[in-house]
Amino acid sequence: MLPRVLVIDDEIRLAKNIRVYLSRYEFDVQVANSGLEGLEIFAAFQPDIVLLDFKLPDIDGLEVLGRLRATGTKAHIILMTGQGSTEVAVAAMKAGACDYLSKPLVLKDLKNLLEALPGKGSH
Amino acid sequence: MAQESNRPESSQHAGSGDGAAPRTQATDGTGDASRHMREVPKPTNLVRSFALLSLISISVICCVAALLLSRFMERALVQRDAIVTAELIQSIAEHEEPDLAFDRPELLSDEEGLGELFIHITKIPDVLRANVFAPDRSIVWSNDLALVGRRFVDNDELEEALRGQMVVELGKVAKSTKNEHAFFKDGVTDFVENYVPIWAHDHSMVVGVVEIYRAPTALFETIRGGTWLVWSIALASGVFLYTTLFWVVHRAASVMRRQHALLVESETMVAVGEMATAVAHGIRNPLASIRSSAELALEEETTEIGREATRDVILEVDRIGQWLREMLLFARPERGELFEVDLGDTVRRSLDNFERTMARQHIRSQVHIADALPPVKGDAQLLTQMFNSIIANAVEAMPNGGSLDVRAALCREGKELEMTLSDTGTGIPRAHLDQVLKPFFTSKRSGLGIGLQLVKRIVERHGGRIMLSSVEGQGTTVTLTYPVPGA
Repeated sequence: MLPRVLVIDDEIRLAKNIRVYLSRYEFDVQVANSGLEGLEIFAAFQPDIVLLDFKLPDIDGLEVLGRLRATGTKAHIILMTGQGSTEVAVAAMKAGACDYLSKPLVLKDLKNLLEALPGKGSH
Repeated sequence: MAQESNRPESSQHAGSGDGAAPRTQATDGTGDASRHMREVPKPTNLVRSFALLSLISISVICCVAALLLSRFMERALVQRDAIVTAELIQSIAEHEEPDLAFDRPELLSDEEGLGELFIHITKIPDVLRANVFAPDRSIVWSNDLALVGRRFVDNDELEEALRGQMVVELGKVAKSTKNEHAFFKDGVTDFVENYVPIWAHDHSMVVGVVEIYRAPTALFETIRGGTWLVWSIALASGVFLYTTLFWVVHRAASVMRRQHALLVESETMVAVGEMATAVAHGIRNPLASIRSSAELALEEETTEIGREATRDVILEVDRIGQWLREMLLFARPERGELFEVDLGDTVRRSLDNFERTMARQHIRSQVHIADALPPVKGDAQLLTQMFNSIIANAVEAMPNGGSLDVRAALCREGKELEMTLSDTGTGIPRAHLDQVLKPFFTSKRSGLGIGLQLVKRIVERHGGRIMLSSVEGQGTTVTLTYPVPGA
């Protein structure tokens, strides 16, 4: 079974590119363009990995992160942000993110990171 | 499909709308700031008005004090002198049974008795004239015989003396209007007029009044000396007080000026920082989309031209990304904690990063770093960033080769560490030399102009100084001076 990845980002093209790229390397990827849509898809899709943008049009990334963690999921949640500040990174780690990527991100690095995650696809 | 192509457009509109709103806000903000600044009085004006006001008040205070003091001193001395004279006259008179003598005027001209007293009086030093009045205000004795027998009924001082009071008057010859003053010698300008009551033997009544005019030159000399001293002291203390106060206020004003400049600069930096952060974030998202698209395209592209073009897109995106990181670093608030950093190691590591670029451009580098240089207190990441900026500028200034010379040594008896980085590049035009350390100045077409300003900020954050010297066509030297901790 392919590892499932959910991308929650309102940058439509970036989300699409991540989906296309990761699909090539044997990931099952779905995309949501807002926080609420992401929570909905998460419930149905039960991904192993969540790529979460910090700045979303409806509810912000940290809020989404909190709600995801509240479901008791064991999914790896990685926060992506255009904000280079360490405060955001620290807040993300505290809220239960397992890693933090700053934009513009390199797809190859992202793929390497996902492949290195422990217990990937064990669900 | 149609929906998908519409959405980015609408979000782009929203984006430009968002962009416009902060711009208006920013304009309002600067308006407020400049209005606020205009309300604050300039330290220069404060100094000027303080200088004027304190000069006036100190002058007034000193003049009034000197005037009161010298008046008091003059009065006290004259009074004292008069009392001594009066007591002398009174004590001699008491021996001569004054009650009887005044009753029998024929005795007054006698060489014996009271007449002898009057002769004594005229022999008191500095006495110019002595008149003796009987209680009926007539002169019964005088050393000017022409006055004997005349009566003076409108003389207030005489009336007072007849009531038992001793009267002292200071006068000037020229201003005198009294008709009995027509006897002064030439050259006598000041005199003391003294009315001394002569009491009866049993002190029950005043039996007569002795009026003497004196020109006590020694006393007047003392008074003049004292007055001169009082005014000199007043002037000297006024000048001292004024100078001290002015110096303090001048110092305070220059401190205020410096702090004002720092305040304006830090306010500007906060505004610039907020702006930079907003701009960086706004650009990073589309940049992420562009980079990921290019990365995907690179994997699909089969022609070499296409692959190269796509790689170029990625390279340029990374360049913008690098600039954004630098801009965010520039906008980053100051951090408190500093560690010991070896500047020599740091600059060598930075030079290593540029090794390939420098080899390609035929740039030789020479490093002369004195042995056992003490470390400076600093932030290694920032210092690396700083050297990268300086070296990148130098490399950019030498497209056709040259040499980069790095030297570091202690100076000022080991209190400071001086590092110079000299290139043989194109140099900075004289007109730009003052400008290059200011935020966002750039003469290069690429780049945001952050490099050198960032360098300056980093140097100042570490308590150091930066100096730029450059000759167009010959090269640029950057001199960094750092305090040595504990030296």
